Amino acid sequence: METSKLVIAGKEINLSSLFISIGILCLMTGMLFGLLASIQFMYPKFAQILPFVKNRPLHVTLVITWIFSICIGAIYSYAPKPDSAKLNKTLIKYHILIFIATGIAIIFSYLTGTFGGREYWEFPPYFSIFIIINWLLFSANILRILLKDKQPWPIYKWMWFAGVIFFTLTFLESLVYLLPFVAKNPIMELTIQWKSYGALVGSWNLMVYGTAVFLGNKISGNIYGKDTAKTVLLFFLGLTNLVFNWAHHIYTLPTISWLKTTAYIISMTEWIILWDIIRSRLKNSPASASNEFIKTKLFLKWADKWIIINLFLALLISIPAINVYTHGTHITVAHAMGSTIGINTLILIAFLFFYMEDKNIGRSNNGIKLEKRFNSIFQFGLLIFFFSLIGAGLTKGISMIHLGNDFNSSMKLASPFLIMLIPAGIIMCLGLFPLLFRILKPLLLHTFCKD
Amino acid sequence: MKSRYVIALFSLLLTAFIFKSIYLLKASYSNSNEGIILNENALIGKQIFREKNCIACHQFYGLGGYMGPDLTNVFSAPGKGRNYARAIISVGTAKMPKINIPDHEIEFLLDYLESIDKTGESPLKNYKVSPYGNIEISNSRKGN
Repeated sequence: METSKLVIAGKEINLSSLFISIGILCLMTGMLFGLLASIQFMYPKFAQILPFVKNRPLHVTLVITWIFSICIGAIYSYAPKPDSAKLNKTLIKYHILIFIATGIAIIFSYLTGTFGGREYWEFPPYFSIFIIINWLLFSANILRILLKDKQPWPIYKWMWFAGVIFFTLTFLESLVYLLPFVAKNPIMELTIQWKSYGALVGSWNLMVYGTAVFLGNKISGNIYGKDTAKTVLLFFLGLTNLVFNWAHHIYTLPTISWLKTTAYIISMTEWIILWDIIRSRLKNSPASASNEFIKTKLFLKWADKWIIINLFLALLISIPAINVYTHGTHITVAHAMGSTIGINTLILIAFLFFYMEDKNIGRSNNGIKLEKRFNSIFQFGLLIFFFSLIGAGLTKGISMIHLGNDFNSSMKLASPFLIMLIPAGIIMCLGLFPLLFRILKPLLLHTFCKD
Repeated sequence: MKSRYVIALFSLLLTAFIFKSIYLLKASYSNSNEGIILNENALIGKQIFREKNCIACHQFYGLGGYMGPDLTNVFSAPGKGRNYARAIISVGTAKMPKINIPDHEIEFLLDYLESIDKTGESPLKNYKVSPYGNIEISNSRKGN
């Protein structure tokens, strides 16, 4: 399956490798900004050239761009069947140009302190126009390819399809705060904002999990094989949660009650997913004698462990009586970071190794010693990071809600946990950067067709 | 599972999502939750709050950054209020930089924070837990 090549400014460029390279660069810079943010959280005067108020949106935007870039690279590369319709190269060309130009402009706006000031998308709202155009160019190309495929789709294609559709809808919905009647009503604005954000995260999760299912199929040699009814049902359970289970963000908001009750009931169906994952892990031994895609398997195996931990935490904070204590604390951050790093990032790193091996990029080395060593360092850092956030969140929640302490004294109590985020961040960088550097160099050569 | 069932289920969920979005927009338009509506000064204050990216460090209803305190009830919290908030914005703290805006803009910002304070409480103190783990927010500070 050949990845599309494009000629831009007289140079031949490998499209998927370009998106993947951009993604890796975004992850590395995003992690460095995150590390800086963790230092500034404890020592606000540190590196005032880039204060926390600028640093945080840089970190968030770059890490989200990492997820999107790799997913886009994966979908462009593997959504078209070898013998079916080809991607439209003009659409791709404009997609790449607008993607890069918008990204640079948003980073520039953060650096100059020009903000839109909304959680997640902290850039001024006019940038959204370019993001929508950019996404529509990508969607049009992918939907054209997918809809021309008349054979029943494997479930990973459904997941990519659903991710593309729901991102379009949820991103547009996240902009309705610009309507005057929404802007005037702060409670409804927050309600709609977190409805769209909850589903928006669900939409990119669908693309990441679709990539994981694709990897699973590809490794097992079942790429165009039939999905079991159980796999399809689990996909729909996930999709139902995307549509209804976003309200755990707003249990404490004085808004429409039935929205919250529905979300609570729907969110509890995720116990089925957790139960199924644990049961299948107990049943099957994932060990495989084959050395093929061994690095991919290593990272998928670790993502699997983090799915169980994060799903358990997500389920607990979806119970309103518990959520009252955890909401607005670092337990929410543990939930967000645990899922973004432990699940999404590990799946996407698994994809990176798959892509390198599948496309024969770089040295053909089936050894896994180095990857195992650096992954152990990374996992150690992530464990400290995750449980420090849980510790900080529990301390803050109990101190503020149960003991009635004020913010400052609660944060003082939580500071031994919060300071641990700095060494944890350093350890994670030490574990991940050597692996990413080893991938990036040959990938850049492949991007510019020099391998 | 047959393709037509997958398509039907997918369409059903997509429709549910769209209907829910329309319902919320309608609720905002008719203000059916009878919440607080921001006046013009508060709307200007909100714009300033956003341009200064205050949400990077602060929260409303626990939603936002965690470096600074939740600002939902900065007006009604014991020992705080308009003068307290004005002083913090004008002078800054060890953790928070001084916000460089003219005095009249500080007043808009305070109007915004005052309006938010009237919408409810955060962190939540007045609530009942049902036997099923759900919570019911007490009406004592719910809007109006």
